[in-house]
Amino acid sequence: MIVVENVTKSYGRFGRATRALDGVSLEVHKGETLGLIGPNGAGKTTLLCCLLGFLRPDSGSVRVDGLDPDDLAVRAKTGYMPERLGFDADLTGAAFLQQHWRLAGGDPGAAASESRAAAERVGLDPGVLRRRLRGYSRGMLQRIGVAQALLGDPELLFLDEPASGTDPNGVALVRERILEAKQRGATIVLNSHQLPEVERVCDRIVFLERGKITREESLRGEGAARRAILRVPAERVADAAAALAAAGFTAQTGAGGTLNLEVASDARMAEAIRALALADVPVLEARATADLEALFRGTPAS
Amino acid sequence: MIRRFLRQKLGSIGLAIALLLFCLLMAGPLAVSGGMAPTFGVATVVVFLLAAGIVSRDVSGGAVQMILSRPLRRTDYLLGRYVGFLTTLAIVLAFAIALGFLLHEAGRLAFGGQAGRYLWTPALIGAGGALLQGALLGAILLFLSTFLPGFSDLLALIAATVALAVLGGIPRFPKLAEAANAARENLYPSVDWGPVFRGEALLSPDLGRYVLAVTVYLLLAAWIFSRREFAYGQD
Repeated sequence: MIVVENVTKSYGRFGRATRALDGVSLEVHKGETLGLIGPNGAGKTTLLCCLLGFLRPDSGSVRVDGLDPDDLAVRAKTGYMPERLGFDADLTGAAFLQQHWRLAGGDPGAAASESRAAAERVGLDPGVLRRRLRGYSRGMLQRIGVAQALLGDPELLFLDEPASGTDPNGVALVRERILEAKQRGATIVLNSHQLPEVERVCDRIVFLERGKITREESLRGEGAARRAILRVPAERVADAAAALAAAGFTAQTGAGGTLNLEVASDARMAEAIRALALADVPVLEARATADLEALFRGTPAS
Repeated sequence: MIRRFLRQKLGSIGLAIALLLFCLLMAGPLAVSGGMAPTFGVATVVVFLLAAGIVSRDVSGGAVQMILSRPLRRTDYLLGRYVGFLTTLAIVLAFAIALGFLLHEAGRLAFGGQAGRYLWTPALIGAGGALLQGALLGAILLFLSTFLPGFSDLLALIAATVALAVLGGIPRFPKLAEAANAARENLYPSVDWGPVFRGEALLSPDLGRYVLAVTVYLLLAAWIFSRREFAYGQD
């Protein structure tokens, strides 16, 4: 479990200090996937660096399973992928992964096979691994970055924009790997601007703005924040809105026959669809979303 | 970490070619003199090539964050960098001596064996001295690299050396010159390694200053690096 208590962190000195984190407190439970979202400069990466022990808070504390984040026992079960990947450009992909396998305390004899397996899990074939990293595309670097973070199946995963710059296949692969790690019980902290991905994999999100947590939302289970997006034939939008109103929903109509309404649970979602079916309005699409984008509205980058 | 350093330096084609050229520059005089005139002055440039930005390049590139997220002590990382540097330097010097021998023997064959035998002992003493002097330079660069960005460690070392040399040569201010020379002797002690290797100067003040300087630079590097914060994007 990760416990952050009243953490403050500033950069700069002599009256020019910028407060990157301002009294941040949060807990990440074992096996939970937490999403950090917020505009650029909100302090997400600074928080991640504090969680990893790269930065020391000016005040407050960070504990991981009761230990300092830079304790070797914590590091032994940590996988980390930074936003800005720092590679030795002259290393081959295989050498890079093997190096991190050994650094992670893996059996040196298994370094080659584990590296190949890790690369395959992110869709990199063995031929690519023989090439030097300087010849990799941005998407390939991201994939190999994810592969190194997942080496040895760490219990704690810190991922900073893991799918940034990857193609849709890459985004899906990264998502699958995160979900796999989640399934085996890993605790994951994900910093990403790809809100649909955050919504798909995270159990909870915290919204950071100007160094403070301004909102916290649960994305799973009862009481989770969600909205239903329903799409009906455009000419039937008025009928659909009336049917939903009769069933006790307040729906906002949008372009292309979409209706946007708040639903507190899966059962309420089903009720909304049933109301449309009873009114003989065809439902072309129905999905529940936390609508994380709404959190960004009115919160310009600082 | 040692293997990583070797891969970084010897795996880079440009750097490998540069090192080969410097090996030839060191091997040439050895071959001509049959090992008697080990001129390893150019080894300083090799040290600069290998050790400049030894830590700071990892920090500014972001590699150090990925490495330090692993169960590795910061001091182990530093030690790995330093030992990796010394290993690479030793390989380069050994290669230069071997190349000197090969060139010498090729010359003997070409000119009908008129040249004398290749003398390994002076060549090895020269290389050993260059390695140990390089160890001091490497320790200084390691220390500077823990807090200066990019290749500023090398610039700072050159600037300090030039400043002390200039100040030490000003006759109008003898006290200042004396202080500068004392600083230079202690900050960058120069040792005559021949007598040391022959066991004749093991207790010399120069050797004492050398051991103290290397130790202090390494300890300072470890102290600074273990307290340093790493926020990428801040460099």
